[in-house]
Amino acid sequence: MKIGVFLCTCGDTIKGTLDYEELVTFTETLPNVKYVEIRDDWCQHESLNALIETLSKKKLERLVIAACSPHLFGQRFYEAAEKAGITRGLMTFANIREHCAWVHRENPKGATAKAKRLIRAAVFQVAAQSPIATKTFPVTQEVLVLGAGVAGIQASLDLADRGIKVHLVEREPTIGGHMAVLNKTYPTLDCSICILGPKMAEAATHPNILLHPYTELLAAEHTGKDWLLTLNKKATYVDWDKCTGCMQCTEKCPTRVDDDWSWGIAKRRAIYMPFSQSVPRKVTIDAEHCKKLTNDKCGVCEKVCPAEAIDYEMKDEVVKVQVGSVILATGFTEFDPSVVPELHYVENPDVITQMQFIRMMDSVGPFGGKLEVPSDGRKPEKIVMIQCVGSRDERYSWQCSAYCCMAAIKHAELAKLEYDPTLDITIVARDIRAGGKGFDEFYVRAREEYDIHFEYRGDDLEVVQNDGKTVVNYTDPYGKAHSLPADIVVLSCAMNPSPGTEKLATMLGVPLGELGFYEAQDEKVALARTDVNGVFLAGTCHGPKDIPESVEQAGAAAEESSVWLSTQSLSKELDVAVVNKDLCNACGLCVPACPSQAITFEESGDCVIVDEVRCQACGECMATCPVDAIGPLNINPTVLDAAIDGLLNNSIEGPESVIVGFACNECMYRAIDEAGEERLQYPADLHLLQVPCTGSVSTPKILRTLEAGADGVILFACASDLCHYGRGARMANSRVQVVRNIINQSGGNPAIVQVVQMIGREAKEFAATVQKTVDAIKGRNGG
Amino acid sequence: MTVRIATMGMAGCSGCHIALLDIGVKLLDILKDVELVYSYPLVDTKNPIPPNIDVALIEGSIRTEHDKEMAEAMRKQAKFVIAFGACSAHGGVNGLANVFGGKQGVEYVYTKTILMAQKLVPSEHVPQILTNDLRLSDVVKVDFVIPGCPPNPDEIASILTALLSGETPTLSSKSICDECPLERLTEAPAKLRRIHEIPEPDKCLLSQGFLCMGPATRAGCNAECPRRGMPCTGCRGPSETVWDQGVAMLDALAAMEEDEISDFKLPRLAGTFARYTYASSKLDNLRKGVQKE
Repeated sequence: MKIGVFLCTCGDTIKGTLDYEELVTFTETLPNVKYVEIRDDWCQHESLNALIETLSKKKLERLVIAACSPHLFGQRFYEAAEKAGITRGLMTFANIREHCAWVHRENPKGATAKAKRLIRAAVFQVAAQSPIATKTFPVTQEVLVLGAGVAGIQASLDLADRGIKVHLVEREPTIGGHMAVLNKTYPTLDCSICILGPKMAEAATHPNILLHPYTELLAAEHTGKDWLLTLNKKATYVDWDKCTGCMQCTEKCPTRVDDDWSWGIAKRRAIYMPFSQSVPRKVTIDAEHCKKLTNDKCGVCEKVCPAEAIDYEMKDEVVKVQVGSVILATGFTEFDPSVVPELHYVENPDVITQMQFIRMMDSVGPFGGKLEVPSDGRKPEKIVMIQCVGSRDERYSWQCSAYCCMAAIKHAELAKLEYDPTLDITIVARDIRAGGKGFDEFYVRAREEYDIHFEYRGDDLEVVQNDGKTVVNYTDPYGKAHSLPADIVVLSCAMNPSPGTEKLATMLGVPLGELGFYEAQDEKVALARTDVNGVFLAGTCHGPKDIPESVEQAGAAAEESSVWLSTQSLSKELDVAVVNKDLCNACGLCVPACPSQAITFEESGDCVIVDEVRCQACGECMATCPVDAIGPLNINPTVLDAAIDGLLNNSIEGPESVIVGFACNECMYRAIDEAGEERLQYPADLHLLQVPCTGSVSTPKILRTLEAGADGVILFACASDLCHYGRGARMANSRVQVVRNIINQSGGNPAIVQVVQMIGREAKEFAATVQKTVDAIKGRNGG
Repeated sequence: MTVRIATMGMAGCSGCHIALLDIGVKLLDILKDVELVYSYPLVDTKNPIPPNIDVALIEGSIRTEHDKEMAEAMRKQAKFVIAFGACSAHGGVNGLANVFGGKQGVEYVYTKTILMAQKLVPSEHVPQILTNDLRLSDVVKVDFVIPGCPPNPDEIASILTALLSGETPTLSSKSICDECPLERLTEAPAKLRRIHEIPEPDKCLLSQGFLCMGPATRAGCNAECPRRGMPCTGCRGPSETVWDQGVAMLDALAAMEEDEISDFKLPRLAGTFARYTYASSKLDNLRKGVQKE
């Protein structure tokens, strides 16, 4: 093995403290060291080129850079070495600047002795290291679409047609969403279900789409490349394989419940099909209201079902899927106008919402298309629609809900066209927004051809009841008061985020905007993208929009998602934990210790295996393994022992004792660098080894370091609740307590083992703490 | 050619000799090619040790000057010396006396216990007791170790059979878990439990909080204890790559939320985590190191 050691004087800034002649003479005597060179500026372009040349010319296989902190120019040196064919795994650093020369300027002799130890440790360590391979993990070529309204269905179809497998998840028993019950669409007055129905059927039968109806997301976890999603398939209490959708059960069921799909204006049974075009065409038992499930009474549906499909014992089922990308298409919910006091929505049955109104007019809806005044069933003569309920109203939302002007006009036209051309309909709006293609023509036609009245309101508006008659009182923008009698008042309500949006946002880590909708990465140029890897947006979950816009965005989300799958793969340097299968006994101690859930048992049960994608190489497994069978590739027990021996074996002449510090690479190593940058002085007794996390240093390792000749051991850990890996710092603390007890019980001085916990970047405090801790350790020598 | 075998017992309980006999019928096959030339636990003669011994099995730890002398004498005559059983291999239960340092234990036994009427530490006609309990390899070169308290008869038989046929015997380098049929540990023990709190059968004992030394203990006994619901007490000593059996197991429990083990006093630390190995453990090394200073 040929090791090259490259010493840097850092443009003379550390020359005054360290005796370089001595360092070179010493380094040349170290095992396997075949080449040593000093320069003032190894980090500079010219020197790096010289380094590459030397590495090749001298046929060096491994190298040690004895210079500044690897956090500073480490990457440059890695890249240079790679050009000479030496992989990242076969080089290491001796930090003789920040950790040595700069912090021991008043003690050149001690600093030189310490630098020797650090260099020897690096040489020993690099000799024990292994090359690191890079592996590419392709993203799983499947997508989960959450929400099966028109946006979700469209995105799923677009992806499925490209050959990508799609999991289409819907929390309702049917797919389709709001569009399925809109009756007609604007501005063409096409039949809504006639457009959506074929898409629903295609989604249900497409070979690349797996439908998950009546299913909710329970948990989401990102594995480093994929999303691992836990779904709860809710019990329908009906075996859908047997149910034929004959509806005999729904006719006989005695329990009547408010129908969500008619926004409460009609009733449905406790066993129900959401609407007649439901996909899948199956019935579901509403467990909350079914008498059999709540009180163990009734059971009629079971008796009448000719297919014997009823199963009261059915349980929720947990399903796990792994996908490369997630499309959120969770839609909206209509703003609840009962919170607006002046509308008296709750008290006055003749005040309804647009969703209720359109359900009322649907010829296949719960009213069979009969338009009647809700309070007394009479034929209405005057209808007043109120715009901007819950939107453009600073009490609720400043946003324009975009769809409601056109929706109100559409419903007004429908009422006139299909029910009674003599109806007197007035739309009371702040203004009419008709910006889409064909929208303004639609609006003009409503006004001029259908004689629909448009009035304009200011902020003051109230719905009152006089002698059982409903009147809408409002003030126009010029301050003039108006009063409009109405048989039915229809509220055009805002679009709000669908319930559960916030929960999903937390689960997936997608940011929410001020109004509670998912936020796109950029509202102009990355509309379908989120800040979260592989998560895209489609439809009204991103903000109020109408059907064309939702479908457009769904197409974009599908496109983005498929590009993501084909371009994103996780390229990872495999400096992850490695298992020595000959040594592993599958005792399992490392399994719960792993903060990334990366360790599982091999199928045979004879040893554990590491998920290379999940592993973060923190080394917690290494510390728990009693037989040294597991550890990160280049901080495994052998490498760590080599480094410890490098610091301690054979005495080096110097005035100092040797205290070994294990510093966590996350917070502490940088804090220690910073102390160097600020030239804070602390005792040269402290010799630092870099570990990924102090949770990787085991009780035996601490004792072994003392056995190897250390005068003391300090673990430099993060604050317990700030450990990057969860429990690492806490473990460091526990282990130090265990070691101190052992030493104490054996009659020794427990103070020689210390743990220092700090939040990064407290350099001054660090230097003071080191002084204090070293004093505490050296107290033993005095006494 | 017959192989000349000798056995010897030092500070121990003769249990290893019983285990030898416990080989049963198979012992007859082994004895076919063997001449038992010396065995004072079986035959009442101590001196002299005959010459040209091929294999010597030495049970027990080295506790007195006499033990040491006898071990050295046997080493001179024997070509192949086997440390036979936990005491000889690792110091055994006897080694726990080291916790109380030197001769304190002897004084206690002879002057404080009820049975000793004279309350006197004997000094005549008895060998001098050593300061520390030692394992056999601390005083003579040992060629092979048969661990266990007592050793497993099947294992003794296979080792002797290998030796008689001129092969080099080997021990398993793995740990007890490798042979244990119980369901694997997947969660760390939250609280230390004691054996009267009856474990659930078929589930890893350590995960249930029973201190099972299995992960750090040398395999080869077919995990006879844990498979019967009895936690491994570690009688076979550390497995091949364990730095220290007791310290390794202490570490395995360091994650416990109730921080009880960091308060254990030395007798409990030693008796729980190094019951058979204290005399040769890093724990005892540490104690000796400090006392030397």
